[in-house]
Amino acid sequence: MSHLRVFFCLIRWDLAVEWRRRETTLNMCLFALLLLFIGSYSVASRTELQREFGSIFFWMVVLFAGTVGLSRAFLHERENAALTGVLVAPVDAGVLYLAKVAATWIYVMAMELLVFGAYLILFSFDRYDRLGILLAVMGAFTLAYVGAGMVLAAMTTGLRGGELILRVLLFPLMVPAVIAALEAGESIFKEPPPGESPLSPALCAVALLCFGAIYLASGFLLFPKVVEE
Amino acid sequence: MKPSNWLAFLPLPAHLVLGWALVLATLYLVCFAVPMQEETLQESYLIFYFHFPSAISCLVLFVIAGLVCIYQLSTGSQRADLAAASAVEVGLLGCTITLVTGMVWAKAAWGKPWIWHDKRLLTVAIMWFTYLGYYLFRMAVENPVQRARYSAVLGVLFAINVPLVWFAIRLFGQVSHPMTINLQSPFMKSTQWFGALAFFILYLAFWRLRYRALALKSDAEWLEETVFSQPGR
Repeated sequence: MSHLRVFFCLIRWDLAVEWRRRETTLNMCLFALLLLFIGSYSVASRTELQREFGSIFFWMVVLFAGTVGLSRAFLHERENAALTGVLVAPVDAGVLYLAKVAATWIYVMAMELLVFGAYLILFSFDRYDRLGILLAVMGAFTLAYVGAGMVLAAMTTGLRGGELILRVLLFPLMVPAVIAALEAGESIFKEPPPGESPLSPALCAVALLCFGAIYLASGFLLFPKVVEE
Repeated sequence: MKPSNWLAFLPLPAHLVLGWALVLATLYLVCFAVPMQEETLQESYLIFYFHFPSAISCLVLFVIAGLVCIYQLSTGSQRADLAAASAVEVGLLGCTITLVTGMVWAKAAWGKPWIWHDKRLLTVAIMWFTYLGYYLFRMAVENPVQRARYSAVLGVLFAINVPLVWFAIRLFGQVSHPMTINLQSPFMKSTQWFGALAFFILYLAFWRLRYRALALKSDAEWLEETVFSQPGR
């Protein structure tokens, strides 16, 4: 079987398992909505605070809720030794990594779209002309996030306090990407104050894509060592 | 890949004495030889002679740790794992000293120890957190073979992130942190580089010392598992 066919087979397998259980996506979405709801309540009385901190809340919710999805990405495989089953089959570990990244990217993007839907209502978003670039930034950020997070998730699943260690390792690694996403959010979510010229969101999206490419390439090379028995 | 092999010509006690002597010589130069004031930063610039060497040394040690991790992944050597772990630990020490001296300097120069909009401060803090995570991760993995392999993967991933963080900040950050200091006299510059060399030699000695301690601990654990756990003991 060609690598491409294996790649799509693995994505289909992952999505089918998730579709039956609906565990990861539901947990992640519920956690994200709760975080956004609490964040919105804390600034509900002041419209200017909503505008000022809205984009920060949005990215923080994505960052925190995303780890719920990442930490569960290898849970079933580790628990039931299904990973060994996949690896004894003629499947390249690098292709398995890329397929896991693609499937988790879909879950996390679904969660981000739901969070954005809630954001529209709770934070009175009105800059609809920026929707396209926001989606591009979200997609690029998620690629960098999942690309780096998947390697760490494979290592921390099954460890004592693995979920906490995943966050401790992932968050500092994601700081450059978070800075880029926040810079993009400055001109997407609100009108920049006069005299200030934040970086163009397109430039931030390109920077995020570069981070994503670096994490994907290093993950592709390192992942076989992580799942080595 | 063991630090003791690279520097075998210099016994560890002599290396430590040399390192401390050079650092004391730097202290002497800073106290009695270089001018006490600089044009813009006044006398607060003197801490630069300790801040800069620690920053350079920790960056070099983290990169060395990344290279040793690549070697560990290709050979599976347990000793290389210990060499990388000890390099990260000493790098963390350098990073902590960089942060602390940086905050003392910032308090004198800017009036407060921490400024959030300065992304350069942030980069060092990120690096500190990242490698602290590496250290904590090692404590959580019990199987030594698995720990060595996973830690090597982390070491490579984090070493890639060091320049990534650096360039991300150059791209996105406003810079209020001085990139370089305008050291007027050649003597000030030579003292700066003498200090960097002195601290680096001392950090290398710490690395060897820490490596030796970790290797002894690992040997003791191996003995305990293989010899003392035999039936009848």
